[in-house]
Amino acid sequence: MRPRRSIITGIACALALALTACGQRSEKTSPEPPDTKATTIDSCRFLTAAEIQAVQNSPITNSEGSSQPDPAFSVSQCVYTAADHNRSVSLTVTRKNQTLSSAREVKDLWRETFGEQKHAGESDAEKKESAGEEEGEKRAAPTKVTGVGEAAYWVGYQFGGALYVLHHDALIRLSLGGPDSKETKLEKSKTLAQKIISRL
Amino acid sequence: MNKTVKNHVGRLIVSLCLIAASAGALALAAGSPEKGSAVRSRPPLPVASGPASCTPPGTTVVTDPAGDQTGAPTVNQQLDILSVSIAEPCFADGIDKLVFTFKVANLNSIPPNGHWKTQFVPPTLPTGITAFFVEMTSDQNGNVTYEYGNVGTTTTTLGTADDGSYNADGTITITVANSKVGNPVVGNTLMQIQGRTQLLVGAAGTGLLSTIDSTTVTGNNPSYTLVGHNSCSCPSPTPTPTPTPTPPGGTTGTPRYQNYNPPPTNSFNGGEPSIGVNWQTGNVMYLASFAAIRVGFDDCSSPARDTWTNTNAPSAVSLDPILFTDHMRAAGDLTPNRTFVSQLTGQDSITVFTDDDGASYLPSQGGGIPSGVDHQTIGAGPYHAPLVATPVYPNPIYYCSQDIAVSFCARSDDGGATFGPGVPIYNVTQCTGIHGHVKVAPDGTVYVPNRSCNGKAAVTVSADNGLTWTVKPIPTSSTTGFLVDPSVGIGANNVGKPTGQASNTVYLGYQAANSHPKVAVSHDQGDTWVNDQEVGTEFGLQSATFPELVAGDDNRAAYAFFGTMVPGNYTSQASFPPDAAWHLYIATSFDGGVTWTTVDATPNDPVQRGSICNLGTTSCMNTPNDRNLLDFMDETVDAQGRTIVGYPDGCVGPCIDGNVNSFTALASIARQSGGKRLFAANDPNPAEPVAPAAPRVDSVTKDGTGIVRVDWSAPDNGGSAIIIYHVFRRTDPGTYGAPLATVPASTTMYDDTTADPSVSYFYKVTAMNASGESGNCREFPITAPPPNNPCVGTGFLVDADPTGDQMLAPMNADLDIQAVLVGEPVQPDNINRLIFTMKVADLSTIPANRQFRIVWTPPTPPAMPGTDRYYVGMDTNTGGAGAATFDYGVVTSSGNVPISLGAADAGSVDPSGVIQIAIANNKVGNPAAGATFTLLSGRNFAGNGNATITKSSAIDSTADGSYTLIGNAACASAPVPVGAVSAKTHGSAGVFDIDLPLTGNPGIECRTGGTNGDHQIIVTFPAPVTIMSAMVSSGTGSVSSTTVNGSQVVVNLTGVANAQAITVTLVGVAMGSSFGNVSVPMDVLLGDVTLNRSVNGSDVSQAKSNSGQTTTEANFRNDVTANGAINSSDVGTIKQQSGTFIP
Repeated sequence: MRPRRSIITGIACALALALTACGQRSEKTSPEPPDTKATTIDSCRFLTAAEIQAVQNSPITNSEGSSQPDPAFSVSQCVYTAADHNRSVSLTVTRKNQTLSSAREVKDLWRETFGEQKHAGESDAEKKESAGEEEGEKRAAPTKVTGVGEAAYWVGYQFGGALYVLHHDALIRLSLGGPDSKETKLEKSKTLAQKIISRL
Repeated sequence: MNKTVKNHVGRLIVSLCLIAASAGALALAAGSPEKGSAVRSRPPLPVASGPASCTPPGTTVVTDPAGDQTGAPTVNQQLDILSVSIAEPCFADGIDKLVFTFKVANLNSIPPNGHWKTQFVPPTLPTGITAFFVEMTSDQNGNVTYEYGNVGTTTTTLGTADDGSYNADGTITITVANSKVGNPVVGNTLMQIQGRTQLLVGAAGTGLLSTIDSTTVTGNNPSYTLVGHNSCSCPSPTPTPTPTPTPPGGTTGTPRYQNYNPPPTNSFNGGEPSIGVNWQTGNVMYLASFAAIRVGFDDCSSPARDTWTNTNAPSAVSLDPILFTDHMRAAGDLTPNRTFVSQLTGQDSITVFTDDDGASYLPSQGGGIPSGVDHQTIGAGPYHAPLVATPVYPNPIYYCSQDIAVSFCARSDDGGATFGPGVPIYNVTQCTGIHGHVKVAPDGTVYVPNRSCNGKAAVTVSADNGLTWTVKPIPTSSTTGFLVDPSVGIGANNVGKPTGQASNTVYLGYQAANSHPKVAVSHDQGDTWVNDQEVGTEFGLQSATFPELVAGDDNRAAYAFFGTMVPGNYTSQASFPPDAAWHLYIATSFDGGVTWTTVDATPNDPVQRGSICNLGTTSCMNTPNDRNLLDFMDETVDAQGRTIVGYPDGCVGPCIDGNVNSFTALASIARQSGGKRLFAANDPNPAEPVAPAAPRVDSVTKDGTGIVRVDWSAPDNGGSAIIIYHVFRRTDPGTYGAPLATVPASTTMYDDTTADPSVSYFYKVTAMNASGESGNCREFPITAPPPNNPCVGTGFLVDADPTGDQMLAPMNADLDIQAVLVGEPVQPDNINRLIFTMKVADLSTIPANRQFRIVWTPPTPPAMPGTDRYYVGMDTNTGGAGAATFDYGVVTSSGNVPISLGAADAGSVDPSGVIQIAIANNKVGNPAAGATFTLLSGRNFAGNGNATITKSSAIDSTADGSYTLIGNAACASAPVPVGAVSAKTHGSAGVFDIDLPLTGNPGIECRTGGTNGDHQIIVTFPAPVTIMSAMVSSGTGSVSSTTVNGSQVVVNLTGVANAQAITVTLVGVAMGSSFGNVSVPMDVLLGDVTLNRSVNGSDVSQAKSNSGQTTTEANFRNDVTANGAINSSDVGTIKQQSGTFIP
């Protein structure tokens, strides 16, 4: 059973804004942990419970951090669990893993995802398939978002969406649960993203 | 007729009489002989050195002159016996067998219903048996089988021979084990060996075998003394091409499958189908494109009687549909199983769910516009500790999909009404798409399989209810280069779980780098993997795709996939053989994935021919479209442990036995019919082999000649080959006695030629194998055939639609479509015209503002730019029958906007719900005979003047059907009567008829019509008829009444003037496929007893010469007063008419 970080600890850590200071880390590690030097991001420290509750209208009862090995990036995820789970928030922060020889620039990843470049090693078919293209289907492109970070896109899905933000060497992905409209979720996401950026 | 077509006919016949019912489709997993299998597939018999007896044909025991058969020299050459020989080669299995070689003049073609038999008498015979035989028989389609049997008071086929083959040169070879034919041993003599060929005359079971040729028997000769095969070289046993070990217990219990399709009148298509089962109701839910279908199975018979109902789930046209049924419930939890239906498009997305198998739907949170999202999947199962079920719904619902960069899963705690955030399940560079269906283990662990994570097949696992995820690859795997979803199955309970294993066993099926089907097993939630192995090797499969896995007991799982034995890059339409057959294979493990046994679940019916493009959208822009099956299929298990696979069938109709793919995606279900189940508690008890299941009777119909045809489907064989069927008949009232007929296993129909048309009957059918006889499922009366004649009545049934399936049912019954039909009867003005009929449930009151539309795609698009379909329709306007208007028009290719082009030629509506609209062909593209309307459907709407006629906005709509025009002229071929008479009752002498030839000189009615000029004409046809009306089309007189009694039409005339030629016309006579008007000419001249068209002295003289006689067949014309006696009154009457004549 994974130890659950208490909300109090989470708030305290967030307030401290110290990326490495919290003693009771809860990042999930894989059976073969990556270079520990790379796991220096704790996404659970970027937002406070109060900040999330303010936009989601549900108390945050827990936060659950995790990371997985990655050959190029330092990726940290956190799910801020709301009392009403459907109003929980998922945050992923991706940064260059400076400790790896294979490290890549986040901006390259951003261009590959939202720009014209292909995924490395991916065939046309793979790229288009993984990008969700279907026969004869004209899916909406990611919506460009202004007013947050250097660049941002809203990627909608069936029950909401995710806000992707590029800020310097960090790629932020925020997904808010709940029944709000796309517009409401986007605005809430931007609000939270601004706070995250301020703490990067 | 291939089996699919046959089945569809059967289901048409049964279902139409019941409107909503639909008989099940079938494809038999076992027992069906392969057409032409003798030539195509038999391995060569042993060829060994040694005496002549070691190598077929061996010793010639009898010869017969050429050209001595019945019909010689040119007829029945295939039945002209030349010789019979016997050999005793050594077989690799060491079993003593006799090889009979039966030579006829040629077998360039196989005559239907033929028998090529060698009969002989071994030294030892069972009580009551006088001989044994081996024979090749052909059915009515020329398919051959090889059997053996014995002769007692009757001739009985005991089973299938060990081997058999034939060649065009006329050589028939049949191998049978000695033990099956009296067990003769070395030194024994087979006596009275006789070859005989026969043809069946009449129907199987009741017809007679007519001998065409036979060899001569004198005393006990010809004879043959067995020499055995000790002097023969014995071939080495053929290596078993099956590296996959056989499960403990041998092949006993190997699952068998039957296949089901929707009826053609209510067909559904769609690639990448998904399937679920409601464990409480037993209903299967199937999503084909935007049609969410409820499929009910009635297991009284085998195949089960299946009912396919479009539940009309609210949807947009989608190219990424997904359906999931949550049936995981804690013991005692009666929360209804919930089915989710989700659709994605670029402009909309919608998810709805139902707790009553589609009777009603509720919307989920939705409507997000997806961008770059693909491959959505929904799953559910218990919460992982420490979370527990919420009061709202017992299980968390997981929605997973690809994002622009990663895949994510979102969890719902309120039964799918709203969802939490989308949590990425792997890093952006960790895995590449695509993923398979999300599954939840009994302990709440969530698994999402992925095609490639760092180059390995993998599962992504969450043990905390979707908050965090870990990628767990199979180290020994190699990922496929094609975009093929892997699939995961997790043991659903602890039965068979290894001792000490904490979590349930995980099975991951995937396409390996060489495109072969592989499966691996994990006993620790994916941390480690074992038994990573290939399945289907016994079939020599070269490629496999669409892997799907489902587990039952912890140690039981079924792995389904499409496979082909043809090597090559199967995704390349340019290089892969276009006729390469793919089949649905299902591998099952009963030992936790240590061993797998694979079966071909569609042995006689490919699911695709040629390439299958698994390269994604834009790399698959082939013509024809070999991405017809899209990206995956689905598999599930029902509460009784049956494996159920939902798959798209890309090879239907002529493709099955041909070599050209049909590029369809017909909704199809393979459902386990026998063998061990995925839940051991539901294994067959007693263990198989057991008697077959009860056959499904598909139809009992009477044709125009009075023959009653009984059609059924081959049932599950209980683990042992079916030997025969028994057809029983009883009268109503009455009881069943001995079988009416015994039908060989290769035949699933019987023509009862002995049925009395005046008697009501019931029929039932049983099947027999070596373990016994099945029961029967119900009994069946003779029913009317379905409407399939476009010349008659409402015409040809294109779409049948269930009653009560309209939105907000039982409201809107006026819009509840039951059937759509097309007719092309003869038109009085000779204008080619189509008659469309829509039957709705109730129009006793015609509401205002309703739209009834029949829409079709013509072979050539309409001339108006931007349109691609035509429609005919009725609008009710202000309501009431008088307010209805009928029009026709075109439909835009984008937006489904109807554009009216004017009023229809005619239209009608009646309270029973029949709407008929006539439109001239030249107003709707002028299609000619042979043209086919496709995507023909009915669509009814509330409101008038709707801007679109999209199915999804209809109150009710039918599936898409098709209709091929025959042309009105084709309906003009009127039935030909066998005769017509003018009938009159001559007092107590009886009724006497005057023949009325339809051609040549008309018959002359010389008898009185009384003061009113009454006559009666009787027209007799060779089969039962219907008529629209009767009329006097020329001459003076009128029809007072008409009655139709089977094949006889009785027309009573009145006011018929004397001394005239009159013609009576029967209008709209329908008999079988014939339809038209029939005219009967008759001359009327009272007193013309000599038939010379005038009344004069010769008539008087003839009457006088017969005067004093009672009326008989020989003299009745002289009884012009029709009173039963020839006397002065007749003479006087004739005298009075003297001088009259027929102009």
